[in-house]
Amino acid sequence: MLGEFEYLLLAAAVRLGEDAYGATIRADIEDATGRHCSIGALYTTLDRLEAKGYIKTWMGDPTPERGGRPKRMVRVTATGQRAAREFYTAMTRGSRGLSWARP
Amino acid sequence: MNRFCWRLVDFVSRALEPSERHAIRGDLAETGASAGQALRDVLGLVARRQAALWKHWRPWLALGITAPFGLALSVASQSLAGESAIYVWLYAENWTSAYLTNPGARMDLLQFSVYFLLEFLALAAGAWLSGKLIAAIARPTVVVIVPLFCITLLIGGTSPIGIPSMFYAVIFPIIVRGVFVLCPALLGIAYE
Repeated sequence: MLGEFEYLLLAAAVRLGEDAYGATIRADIEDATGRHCSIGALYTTLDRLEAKGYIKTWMGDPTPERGGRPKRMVRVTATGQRAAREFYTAMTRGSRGLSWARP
Repeated sequence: MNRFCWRLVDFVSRALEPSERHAIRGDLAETGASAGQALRDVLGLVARRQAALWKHWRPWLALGITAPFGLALSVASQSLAGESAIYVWLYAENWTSAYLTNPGARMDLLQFSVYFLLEFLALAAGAWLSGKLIAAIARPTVVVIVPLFCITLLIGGTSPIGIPSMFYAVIFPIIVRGVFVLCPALLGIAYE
């Protein structure tokens, strides 16, 4: 099963679609959690998810606002989406009847 | 301070794979991160990457051979420096042109020069091979192993040489260690 941060990363990458890469995913996670997301945590998790076959990454084109440096683009695979759905379902079920969960 | 920090970011990020380094530097440029924040982020990632590498046996093997090799090279260089320093000191202090005109003295000088040249070359070759071996075993972890290797070189074999000259007793062995051990070893690591 996915870890919490892995799920957040997959969710951000799916939400961003074609525009999913290191900096945008990081900003999305920080928006969602209200907490700082370190580059170290982000990039090591990307590697782990790629090794599990949940995402595919590749180097995108360099852009001027990045000082001519490329982006590490991210796409969530079907397996990754399934794993994210299973995590969400498990969390939703596990939260049933709890005061902080919606009825 | 800012420029120094960014230079430090560039230096530290060299421990990362080139593609990852460029992507991260791009992310930092795009988000307008401050130099301090960028340094913290890059240091964090390098630490995580290094920690992951040390889960394998190769860095530990490289570390296991770094200490004895470094110590052995250090002791050998100190011994050779001590031996050669006495001859160099004697020749330098008592030099006369008679050494070149007298056939016996000329032969002595030649024998001394060839002997120590070969000894120094053997020491440099040993250091170069040690560097190549360490890099071949654990290339990605050299950022940790090289400083340890340098520390071993510095602390090993530092017994004083019995010559009444500060230069030959103290500085000469340091030069020998730097030129014939440290430089060849670092070249061996760099060009593996």
